[in-house]
Amino acid sequence: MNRYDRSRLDTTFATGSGLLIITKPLGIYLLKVLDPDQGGRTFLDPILGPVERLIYAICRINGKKQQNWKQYALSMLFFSAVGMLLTYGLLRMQDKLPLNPQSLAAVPDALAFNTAASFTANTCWQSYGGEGTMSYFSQMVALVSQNFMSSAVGLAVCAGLVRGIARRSTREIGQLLGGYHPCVPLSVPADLPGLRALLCLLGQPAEL
Amino acid sequence: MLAGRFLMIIPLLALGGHLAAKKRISQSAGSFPVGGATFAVLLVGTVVLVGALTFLPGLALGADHRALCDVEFGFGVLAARRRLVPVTFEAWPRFRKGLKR
Repeated sequence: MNRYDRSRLDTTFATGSGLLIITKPLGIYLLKVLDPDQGGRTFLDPILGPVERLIYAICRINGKKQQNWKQYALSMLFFSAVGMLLTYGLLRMQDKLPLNPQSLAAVPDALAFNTAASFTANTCWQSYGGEGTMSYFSQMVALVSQNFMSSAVGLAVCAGLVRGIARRSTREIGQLLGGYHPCVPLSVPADLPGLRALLCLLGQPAEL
Repeated sequence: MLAGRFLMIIPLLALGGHLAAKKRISQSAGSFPVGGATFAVLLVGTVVLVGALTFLPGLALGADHRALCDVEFGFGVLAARRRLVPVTFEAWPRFRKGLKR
């Protein structure tokens, strides 16, 4: 076994044991965040609660209102469509936006659409020359935020399905953007630099 | 990518919605016990079988399939036709170098 294989093995063990350690606390946290019947309160509420309420106030969302699956699916599609449109727009306008010290031109329309579609669908297909195509602003604002939003959408859909299985005699499967939408309470702590650094240490490379 | 994601997600949500609308039915002689060994064996068996079905075709094709994938098949055949030379798997790297020049 050479040194490279050895370090890969170490990484695998570190990732595996790290996952084992966080499974239970993270599972309990997920249950509290995603299941309103569990109270939906976590230890992060004092910090994230005001942020969440501010976002609801701006977007005029009633966090307590429940949705049936059609409303849930429509909200999800709308959320994704807006995210995709924003990503596409930012990529197309990157030459006019700040944080572009290399004076990169706007991303061509087909490539911008492809990138926006793939990042919205959580595929993250990077069919471009990395720093040679995307300005820092595009990477930081358009692409990284899509990394979090699209995975939060996936999590919300999963939570909707699980609530559907768990609930009885109701048409409602929760509120996509409301109360317990994982985007606010979950993705934000997942975005904390500490956790990010921990993931890097465990061998998960940063996305960009 | 969009179809792959959203055409999967919507039926999934529909499934969730319809499952939520179901009533809870109390256990009876007709219900299938999910706590026993029968269920465990059935479940694990299904998972293994379906998983195997994903890999077996690839394994059965074996080396031929590998060669087809590595040669970038479509492009290789086109380029080979233009030059009227058959391009074998082993000769491909040399052939491609020639194309670039």
